[in-house]
Amino acid sequence: MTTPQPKVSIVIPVYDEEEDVVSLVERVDAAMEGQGRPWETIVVDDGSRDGTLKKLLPLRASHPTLRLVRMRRNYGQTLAMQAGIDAARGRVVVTLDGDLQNDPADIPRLLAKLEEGWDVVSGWRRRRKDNALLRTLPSRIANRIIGALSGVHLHDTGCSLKAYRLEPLRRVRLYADMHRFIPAIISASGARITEIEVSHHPRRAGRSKYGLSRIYRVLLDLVVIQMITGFVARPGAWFSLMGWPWFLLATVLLWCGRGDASDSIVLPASAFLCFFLGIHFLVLSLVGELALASGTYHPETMVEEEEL
Amino acid sequence: MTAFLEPPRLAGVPAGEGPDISVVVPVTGIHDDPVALYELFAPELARIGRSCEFLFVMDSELREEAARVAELKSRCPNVSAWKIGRGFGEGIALTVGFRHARGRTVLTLNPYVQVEPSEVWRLLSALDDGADLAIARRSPRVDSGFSRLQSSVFHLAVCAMTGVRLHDISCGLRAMTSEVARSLRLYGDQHRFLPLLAVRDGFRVVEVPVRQSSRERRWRVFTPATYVTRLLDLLTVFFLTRFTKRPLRFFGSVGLAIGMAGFGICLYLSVIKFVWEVSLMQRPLLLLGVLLLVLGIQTGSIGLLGEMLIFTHGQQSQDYRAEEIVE
Repeated sequence: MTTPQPKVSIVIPVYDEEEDVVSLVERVDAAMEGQGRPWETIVVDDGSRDGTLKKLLPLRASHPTLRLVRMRRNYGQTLAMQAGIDAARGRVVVTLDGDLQNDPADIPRLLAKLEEGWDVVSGWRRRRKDNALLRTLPSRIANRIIGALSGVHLHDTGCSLKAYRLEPLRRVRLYADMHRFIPAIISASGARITEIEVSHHPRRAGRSKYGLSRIYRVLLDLVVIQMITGFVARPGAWFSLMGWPWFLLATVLLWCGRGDASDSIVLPASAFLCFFLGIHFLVLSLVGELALASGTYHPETMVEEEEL
Repeated sequence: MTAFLEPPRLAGVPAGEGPDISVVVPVTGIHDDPVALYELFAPELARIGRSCEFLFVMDSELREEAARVAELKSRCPNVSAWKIGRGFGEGIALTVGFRHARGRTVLTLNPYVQVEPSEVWRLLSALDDGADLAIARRSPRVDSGFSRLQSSVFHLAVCAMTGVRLHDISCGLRAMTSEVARSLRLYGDQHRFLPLLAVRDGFRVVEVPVRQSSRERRWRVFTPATYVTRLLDLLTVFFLTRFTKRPLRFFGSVGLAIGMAGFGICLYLSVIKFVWEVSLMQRPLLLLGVLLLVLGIQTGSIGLLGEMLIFTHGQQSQDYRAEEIVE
């Protein structure tokens, strides 16, 4: 039976998963039953067009811990997750995929690890059961790059099975495809992050909603995350960092171009254009400062302070 | 029964205490006599048994019309009127009207007759069937063949850019729940794309065929400037419906394409200079190549700035519509 104040909110975004969704809810319940942690299961239906919602509705009678949130249309995994997090009443949020590739039986282990004093415990699908060339390899490379750029070294940022303390999680709002970067973003404000190995199953039903075209978008997102995690408190610094090399290049080009008679226009002209770009980025750095000064993001509320 | 997770964005008069229907009429641009409009539609709404209020929002430049509406207001208790500053346009006028609307349903009308008043009930019954926004589709059209052709080309372009297939986006007759009216932020010329913005925000939008009024002026002459505006509108709506939360996807891709073109040109010129030793002094192509490179970098960096804007300004925004299923 649900207590008025569940301690753990399990958020599961689902999209067109009518085959699996019932057994998913049952396995979450089986995993949480008798653990001594009151929980709620929040299934977020991300505008499914198949019978997912119809399968879920009657479940509530037999599963009193189940809550259903329906998105008005298909918004994608990140916003569905955000909706689930917004609805969460627990002090701890666990997210997992709706396709049963994550095993709900791993949840208690994540929670135990979190109780050791971590803010985020991320799952690591060490033995992935996906197509090696199309899924596993690109994801390894992406994780390396994300780790290098954000300073948060996780083996598997793409794993949806993660446990969070709600408080740091509430400080960020997710948009676009940002869910894979939550650890990177909240670690910038001092959250403690770790990972444990979790089991991974091959897809049984439904179809993977990812494709290779995702790589290009993930790369663009990476640039954004690098900017946001590293420099959002100092946007000026980030753009000036991109500006100064152009001035340097302009100087070098000018120096090389002196006394070159054959194509005398090429090097000086390029130098001028590099100079332009330098100015362009300096101007942008000022606009960036303006954006931060006038916006609703306040870095001072993000920082977690602890007395030594 | 459903419970909403979020409050409406625009504060206003609490809905539900007012009449059934609030009719909002923005009188800013092309218009006929607003009083005649009231006399056409008010009896019709009364006939189908709905109580209504009329809200006229007038551009302050239209003094003569304002005087007539003021006279109407003194006669009829369910008419109210507001005056907004000159040149704010229809989008803002609608927003002002929505803010003061008290009805559970909001109906918008163009300040000239587009459809037969006797057809309004069709929109209202579409709302009763569960739609959040019902827009009128004038059918069959009585306009000239040419204007129908350009309208269908325009709507195909809208569909290609946003993935939403509509047929008569510019018809001003729309019925919506007060929730839709209060959550949309319209400015500039966005009122034209109201249905697309509503779809973006997760509302259920339906198109309802209604008979076009024989009174609607048959001849509309478009200047070339109108077409340019329409094209820019299309670009805006493309951007607003697809990329508001991911500017780098848009600017980054555009910048990448431009930059790659510039890179290709520069590569070609380097080859002919260093391999065939052709002088570049007489090649304007060099200028183009280098400028394209620069433009590519600039466009991409604007995308980054856009991301920064979204992150720093979007922290308290609600980006989705969802409801918890309680019962």
